[in-house]
Amino acid sequence: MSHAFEGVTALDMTSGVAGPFCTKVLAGLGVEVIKIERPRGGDPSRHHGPFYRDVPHWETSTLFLDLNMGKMSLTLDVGTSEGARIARELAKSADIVVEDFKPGTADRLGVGYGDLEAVNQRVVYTSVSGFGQTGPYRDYLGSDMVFYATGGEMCSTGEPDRHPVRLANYVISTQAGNMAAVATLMAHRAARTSGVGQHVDVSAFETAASSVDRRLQHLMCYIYNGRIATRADNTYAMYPTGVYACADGFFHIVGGGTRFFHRTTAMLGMPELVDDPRFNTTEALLSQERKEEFDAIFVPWAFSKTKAEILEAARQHKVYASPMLTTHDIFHDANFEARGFFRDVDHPATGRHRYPGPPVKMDRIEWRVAPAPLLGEHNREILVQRLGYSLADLARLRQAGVI
Amino acid sequence: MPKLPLDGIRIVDMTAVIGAPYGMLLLAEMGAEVVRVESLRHFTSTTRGTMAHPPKELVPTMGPIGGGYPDFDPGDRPWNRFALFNCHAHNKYSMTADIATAKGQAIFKELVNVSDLVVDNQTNFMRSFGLGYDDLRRVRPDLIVIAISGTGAEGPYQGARGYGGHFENLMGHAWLRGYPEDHPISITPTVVASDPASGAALAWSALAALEYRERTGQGQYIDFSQSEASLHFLTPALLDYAVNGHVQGRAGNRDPHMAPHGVYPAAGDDRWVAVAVANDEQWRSLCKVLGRSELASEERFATAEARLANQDEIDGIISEWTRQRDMYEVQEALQGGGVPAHALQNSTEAMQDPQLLHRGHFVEVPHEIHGSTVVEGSRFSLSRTPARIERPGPTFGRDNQYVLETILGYSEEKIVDLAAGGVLE
Repeated sequence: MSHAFEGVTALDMTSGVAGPFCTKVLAGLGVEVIKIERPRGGDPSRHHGPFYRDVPHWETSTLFLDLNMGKMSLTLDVGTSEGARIARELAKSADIVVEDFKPGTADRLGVGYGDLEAVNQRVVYTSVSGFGQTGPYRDYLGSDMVFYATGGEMCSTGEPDRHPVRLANYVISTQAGNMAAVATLMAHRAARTSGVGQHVDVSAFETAASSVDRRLQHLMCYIYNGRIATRADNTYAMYPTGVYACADGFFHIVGGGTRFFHRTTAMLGMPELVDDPRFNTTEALLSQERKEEFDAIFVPWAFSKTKAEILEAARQHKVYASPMLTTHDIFHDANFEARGFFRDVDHPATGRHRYPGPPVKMDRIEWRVAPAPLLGEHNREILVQRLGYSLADLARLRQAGVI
Repeated sequence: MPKLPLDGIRIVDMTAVIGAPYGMLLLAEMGAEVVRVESLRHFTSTTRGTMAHPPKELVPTMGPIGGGYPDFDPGDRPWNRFALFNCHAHNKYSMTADIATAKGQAIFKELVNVSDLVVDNQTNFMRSFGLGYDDLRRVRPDLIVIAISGTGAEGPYQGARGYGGHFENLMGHAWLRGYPEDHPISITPTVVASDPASGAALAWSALAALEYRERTGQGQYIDFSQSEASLHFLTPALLDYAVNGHVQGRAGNRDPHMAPHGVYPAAGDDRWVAVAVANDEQWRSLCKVLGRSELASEERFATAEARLANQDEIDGIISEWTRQRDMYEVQEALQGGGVPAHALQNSTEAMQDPQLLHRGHFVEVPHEIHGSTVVEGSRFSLSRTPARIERPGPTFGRDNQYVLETILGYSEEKIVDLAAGGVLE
């Protein structure tokens, strides 16, 4: 099996989460990604845990190890004039460049779109930022939660009488990187036919703003009828709907109303409840008192089942219910196992571990699974073999702090 | 005007609900001709309505999804007025055909014959009518089919039902978000990270398959599981388990490396500001803005570790300051002082957001029912081939004539016959 893209190269001047996730997708699809890292310390996410065995070291950050799978590492201080010159040299033969400097910085350093387009008019140059390359928030400082707060639906996330709550880990920044991969590959496709590249501007804020995490839908709703979603809107009356406890954890179900109630009762092995006078009218299925009566039946049933049993019962009866899996559950999940989703990857510093594998299963295309690079692992290959520097040059560049 | 990246690509769209249609929007904005094949006889809930005919008096009570109609009025044809559909449907085409009928299947196959991709999230339904990948690639050998599901087209969970929120559970996101206390919060309609993640992955998968086809002449079958596509979003938690055996739980708004990090109440009812201090320099800046520079030199707040240990106290100090001020005042003061902060914005505020307005985010399109309507434009900008919003979301069957006559070359009589036979419903 081959990869989706072959013979395509990307120069990666990003760090953290959003930019690296974009180039992770590119690397998985077969693009050769040359990751430029600052000589001292490398990508700051190398210093971010969780660390292997909880011991901080720049080669054992699991955040870095996952986000940077399949990339090459070149240490280069693009802030020096020689570093910028080497970056421009590499850009001459790159199809794609991805950067996430603070807006305006890349131009100032001589590695902006204008500089690279001048040496390679085919190049697709993607800028990933918090708020965009232009505009009143251009110089705003951001962070995953901040983007969700302002762009996304954080105001309506959580419980009515408590403060709004964010999503997990860095999903907002990761989505910005995911979207940047789409935008980059769109522009790359256009460049292949026209021979001309362009500047792609992706911001975490805008990605969150028109994201279908209901933001898109709520805005349309607001445009139609002025309704503003609040945390109070998150509760349903159509029992059983919501989070329930089970024998070994919790699950969520949307199992009520005229559409689903009969499936739920079948799942309980109590189909006769559909005709029970307590529950056999449309109004009854929306009634708060009847909900409590139904819960008296449903809750004990739930407590007697494990997460796995509930998933299977739901599947059999076409009930919209699923257990809330922990990371432990996920690594032992029968479905991910059967589909071969996790892959074993060897890494010199942390050894062999299971990592999430192909996000998408394509029957003729293979997702590239390879470890993250050590800091500066490919300096020699890139500078000596590809750009023709000598070993003495490398020593000089290292001395000068350029690499 | 320059050619768009997906000009000339035609996609048969059998997607329902919102996650997959969102991915289709990304393709439609970039020039693909996305033809939805729809039928009122097979009304998949929560696509063009939670039901086809919601009772008018119930609509205002049906929540932000179910009740999304202009002025809460479902009208005579509610399926043309539904917010959850019209928010993702601009640029798309709508053709009606009942694929449960032999003639409907014939139309479908003829359309597939002149299309590059088929994308669906109703695979079992389509297979039951002889329209699965194996059937369709006999029609067109280099066809690309993307079959979307929550947990995969093959595997022990095959057929598991759920909305995007259910797949949030199966990929572990639900367990990791919410308040740190022991009870995980209910899946809210506003929080479905796996839908947007899958939508984007759907778009780049389509691009990857097209690239492969251009190189080799071969099509592709893609078994797209939403849980797999979005599981990568939970890297830190996943690997903490894989490598260290730690099972992470809910952290509320806190971060393991940064403090202070959270939302703080501002003046007024339910107004909040998000603040995230990433390093000691930002901490000092924050203290300065609060007029409490002396806190910057206190040892119990001097380093990230120290601040993490004393977060509750810091949160109290910040809240006292923010409570007295308008949320935008807090935001501007903190950003001006070099601290990442922003007001939590609801829909009204989002529509007036100066950055979104600057980016031309909201686009007015003419609409046959509403006169004109505002939709959100593309979320990224390409300098040379920017997205074009050309048509509003289609009314049901709006493009039958175009598809049947122009694309498939049917005669007027044939079209009339099909309509009379009830195939086009």
